[in-house]
Amino acid sequence: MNFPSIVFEDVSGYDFSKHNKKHVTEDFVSENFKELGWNVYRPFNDTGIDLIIIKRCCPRGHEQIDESANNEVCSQCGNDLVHIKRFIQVKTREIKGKSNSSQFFGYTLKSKDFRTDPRHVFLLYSDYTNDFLIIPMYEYLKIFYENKELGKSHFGTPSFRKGNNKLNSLRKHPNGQWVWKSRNNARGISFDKFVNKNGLKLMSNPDYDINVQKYAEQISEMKLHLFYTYSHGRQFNKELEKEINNYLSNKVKDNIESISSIRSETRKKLRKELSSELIDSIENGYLVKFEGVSFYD
Amino acid sequence: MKVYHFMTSRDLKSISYAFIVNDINIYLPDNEDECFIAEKLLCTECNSPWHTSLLECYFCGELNYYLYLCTVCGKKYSITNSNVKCSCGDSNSKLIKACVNEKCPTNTNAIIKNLAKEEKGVFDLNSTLNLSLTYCVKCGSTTNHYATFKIFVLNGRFNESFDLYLSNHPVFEGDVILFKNEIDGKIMYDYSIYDPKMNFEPSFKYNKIKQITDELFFHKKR
Repeated sequence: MNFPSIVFEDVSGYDFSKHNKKHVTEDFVSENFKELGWNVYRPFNDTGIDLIIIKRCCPRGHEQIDESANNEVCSQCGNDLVHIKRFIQVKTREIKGKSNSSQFFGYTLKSKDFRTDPRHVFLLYSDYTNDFLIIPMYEYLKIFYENKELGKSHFGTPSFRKGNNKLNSLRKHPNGQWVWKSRNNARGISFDKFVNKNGLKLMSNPDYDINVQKYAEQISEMKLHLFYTYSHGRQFNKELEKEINNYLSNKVKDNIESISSIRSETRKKLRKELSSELIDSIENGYLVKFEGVSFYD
Repeated sequence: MKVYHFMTSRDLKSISYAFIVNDINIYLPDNEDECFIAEKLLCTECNSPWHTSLLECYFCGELNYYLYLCTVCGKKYSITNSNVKCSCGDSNSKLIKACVNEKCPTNTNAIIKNLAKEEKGVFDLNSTLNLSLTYCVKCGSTTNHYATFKIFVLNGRFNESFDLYLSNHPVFEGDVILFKNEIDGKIMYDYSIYDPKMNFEPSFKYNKIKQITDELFFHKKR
């Protein structure tokens, strides 16, 4: 089994340029999943998710990853099959550097991309390598949670919150191996378990569907830790970092307990302070798109 | 005999927009399936919508209320009027998109306050002091999940061809069958969450898709 396979035999990824490339990658990814028996759904409106893919499989993971189960029960263990669903966010970037030395894949992720549903999957793809890096949310955060310095430089910096933290540490060696490299970790962290068939197998774990809530809580814990460890980045100094981290150390726990009442108190004050015209203007002009957010709640 | 049929391309678009207008995301099949997916990101605790484009303060979690605050007197103004100056008339006055929570460290801690001021407020377009929603707008939970339904749409009067339709389409337990019909010149709807052990006869009691999305996603019963 080749995965990904060259599903568009009449054209190469090298042939496209920015102006005529739109939708090609999503189509390429989609066709590859369809070939392995997944049902693929594409967004009708802009949602932040590029594909939803669905497949039936054994809850104990007995099916082969390149097969679609057609029976009602698993042929190996007799368990009823379950539907597994993945929400794929595709990041396509040109890989930079010469192929005879280390090449890097630069990409950006924003705070809004980090949802806690374990079925959310990042798929990094460069048509110059024909490799899919398939990284479930839980696995992605786990790497940076377990490697504190990497986590700090990815999630703690001002540029991450600003939404322009271009990550250039993911490298492909001439021998084909993918590694996350950084100044503090010269050997780097292997990303090979996410590449092509390995990533497909990891992503297909039905446990993400069966125990959504359990994983969501673990993802949330890692996410909060990573988001609220402040790093001064290039713009600010160490003293400021210390001051902010002193404050943030108790913040997460406190917020979970009190955020609703803090917000409710603020709304109460704003209702008293602002004119009804201003409140109506904000409600109708800005808050209207956020159902459940209102001065009157 | 009138037979149920799947939507034409225009019908499908029409139904899709009826979901989208209610802030439900729609995904269309990239194969022969005659169905679509309706999706909404929700809080796992209270089922409220989770708005990823809503910003909250990095320090205190307060939401963005789209206001300018005067750095001297704290008076608040609409951000739609960008030329406005504060009525306090202080020469040091600047209007910034500050956090409206008075107890937030961006308003109480001298060092953090200064940082926020330099960034023209927590909610300025280029500020590094906000995050996408992290705590649910209703209950403060930090976990969310995708609620989804696979929806098959049947257009026409109910008759015995429904069973034939089911035998020819990949409808599974938990999928939604949405019935659409014109009754006395009005388009009416009904739906069933498919259960192979149950019989369902549509009574077309809904006149808006919103009534259905409210029940499906937010468990709001009419």
